[in-house]
Amino acid sequence: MNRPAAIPRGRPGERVAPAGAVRRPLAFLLHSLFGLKLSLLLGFVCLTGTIATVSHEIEWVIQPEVRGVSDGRTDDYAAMWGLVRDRYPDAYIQSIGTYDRADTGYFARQADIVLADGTARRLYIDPSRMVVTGEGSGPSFHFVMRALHYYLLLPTDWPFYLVTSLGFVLILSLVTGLLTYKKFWRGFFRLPRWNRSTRTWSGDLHRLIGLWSLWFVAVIGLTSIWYFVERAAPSLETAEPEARSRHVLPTPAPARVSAWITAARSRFPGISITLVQMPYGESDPVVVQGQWRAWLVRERTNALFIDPATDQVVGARVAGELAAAERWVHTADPLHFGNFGGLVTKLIWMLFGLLLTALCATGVIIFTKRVAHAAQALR
Amino acid sequence: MMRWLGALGWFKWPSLILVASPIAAYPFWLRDTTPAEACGFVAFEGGLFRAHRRADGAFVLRPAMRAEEPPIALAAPEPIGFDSGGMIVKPGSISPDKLGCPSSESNEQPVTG
Repeated sequence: MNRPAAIPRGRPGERVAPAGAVRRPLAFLLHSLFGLKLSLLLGFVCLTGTIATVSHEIEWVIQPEVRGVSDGRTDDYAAMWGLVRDRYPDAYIQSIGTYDRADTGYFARQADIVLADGTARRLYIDPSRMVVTGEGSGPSFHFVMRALHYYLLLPTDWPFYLVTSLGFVLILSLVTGLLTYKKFWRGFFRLPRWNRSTRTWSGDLHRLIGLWSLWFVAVIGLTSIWYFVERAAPSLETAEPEARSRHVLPTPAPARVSAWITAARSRFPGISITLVQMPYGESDPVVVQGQWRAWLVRERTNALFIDPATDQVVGARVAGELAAAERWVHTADPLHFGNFGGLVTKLIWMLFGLLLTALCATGVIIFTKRVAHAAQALR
Repeated sequence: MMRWLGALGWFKWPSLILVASPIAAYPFWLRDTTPAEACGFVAFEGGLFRAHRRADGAFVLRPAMRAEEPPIALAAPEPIGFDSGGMIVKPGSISPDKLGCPSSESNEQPVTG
């Protein structure tokens, strides 16, 4: 039977050196060093990311207003637009959409509006009953968890770089872990020896979780590194087309929204619409976006851009027509968030997120127990 | 726990600060938007707008369907930006006194839109 991380114990009759003086492979030292020193931060980021994965579902449990029955292929966005406009005639309707809840049918749609006094508000609409189920303002639980996960809710860019650079630590831990664990492929079904010491069972559990999480650590590590590179390097995304510059833009009537939806359905037959968005800036177009004939792309990939002044289509982005590099830009998010297959993939990502957090915890247990043993040996 | 924190060495301080700071920063960075200071209504080129004043002194005019008070007719002010349905105009384009906005030194600050 092959046990990993061979810590040389010396031959029989040979004087055993204190644990601290034992010569260990470089991979093992690197694995311990990074895993331990960054365990607190890494564990925190893993845990918040895990919660963020299912934060919409947590909102669904605690906030009745976000519940609804929806289907992007049939939801009547123009009617929802009218509903919001009737409720707040003076408001600017910024957008109505799914906001990363597209792959599930149990959420209400969300309208983001700016009231006449400049304050932002969101409304939840159940498209199946065409009623406003509730309202809210300020940061949502989902927003807070995501922000906590990827920039620690701190200002400037450096927290983002710090968090995403943990991707390098994950990949380094993966490689050094495999180098340390001799014949690791034999360990997939080796159960932890629960009846042995804490040091033994936590080590067994650490290796078992590590093996089954290999693919997940690779996916999360590589996408995190990608986010780091993406922020630091020039964008690979094609810029959105610009509309005619204007400074006055009242919220349009539902009939115009209906015409935009028709244009989008004509360009993307059978599209599952995820968002209708009005301009933020003076040259922004109206955006109608959705999922259409492409797997593993984010909600905003397929999009039709419309000039709100003329109602003319000024451009389109089609997932199937993107170059490989740009396609990857749109694929990293679903891979990292696990939201491409509805609740099933979200739960899988949540489970492995918890396992990743457990890897941090068991790694710490192993180290502290080893330190205790070393201290005992020295006494 | 203490043994673990001890094992982290000096790494424990930045780690603890980074983990604790979001909790401390929450009320500061995620403050809800507050209503802008309302000034009144203006009308130009057939449009009716509700006027607000930003902290930098610029005005934000948002299209309105009805006025809660008689609007002040203006020549079209010079726009310098657009922000989520609101037209941003130079501080000097509208007299704050005319609208009932309190005059302030911030009115003279440069605006980038």
